[in-house]
Amino acid sequence: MLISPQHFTMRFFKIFGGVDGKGFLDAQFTELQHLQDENNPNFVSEVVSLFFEDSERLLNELSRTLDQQIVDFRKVDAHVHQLKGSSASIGAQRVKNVCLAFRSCCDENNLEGCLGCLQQVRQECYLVKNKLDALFRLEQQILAAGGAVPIMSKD
Amino acid sequence: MALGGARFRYIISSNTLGRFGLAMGEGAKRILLVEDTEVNRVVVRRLVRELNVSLEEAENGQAAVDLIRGGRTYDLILMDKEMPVVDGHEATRQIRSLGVTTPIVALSGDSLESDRDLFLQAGADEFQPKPLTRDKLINIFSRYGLDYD
Repeated sequence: MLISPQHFTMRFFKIFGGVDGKGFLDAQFTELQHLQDENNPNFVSEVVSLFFEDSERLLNELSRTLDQQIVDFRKVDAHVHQLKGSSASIGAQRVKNVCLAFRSCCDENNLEGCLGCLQQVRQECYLVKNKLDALFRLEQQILAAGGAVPIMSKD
Repeated sequence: MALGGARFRYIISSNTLGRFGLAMGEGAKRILLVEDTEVNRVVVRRLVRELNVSLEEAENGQAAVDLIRGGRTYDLILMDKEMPVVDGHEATRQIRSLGVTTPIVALSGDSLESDRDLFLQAGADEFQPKPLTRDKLINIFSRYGLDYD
């Protein structure tokens, strides 16, 4: 039995999580989707890959910096700022929101708080990566079934 | 380029194809994007690709100031706030102290009044929250008379 593109499309929207302030991805992700076209067919996956390479590097740096005997909270804050910025650019709103809390802990020189946020941001990066991997796999399935990749409306 | 132990990187990535695949002529407006986060630069690069502008990039405020001191001129500068070496506030101040009147649009992920005020005091023309979208960029270009068609 052939599975219709509509079936994959429904699964796509379910994974997408909605632009509702609670989902993994916000309206900025939709903006990225709108920048993808026949001249830039892999734009979204390329930007997302770049984000995850960068976030892995930053998370490792954060681990290292927070593990020092004397923690340089300005350095921690600088790394978190970068992670916040890049997560906002791809629409990874839960990652961004944890980064906001993380920066507050840096302002307070709160080591325990920072360590908690580090754990949380790692988890959120892992979760959004899984979500996006599933989305990209579904896109391939939709295309293979003869459908078109759904793009959320910007409105 | 190494300078006193610090390294600066300039990225000159001209948007060489306009909307109709034509090479950028002398009429193409020149934009300087000053932004340390690569993901953000990649997104802006894509945003301007279909617009009739030439984009250059600097990874921090010092690199931007050096480009301008070296004689490069722009029609618009997009300036991030938090960057290593020299941040956006200081870079804006230094650029203004060189007598440069190019419009500077400050960008920040934090929409704080204090950020906005500091940037305006440093000499920025306006403040935009990040991330930039295509619509926001087109509006900015229109406000500063940059023809993007």
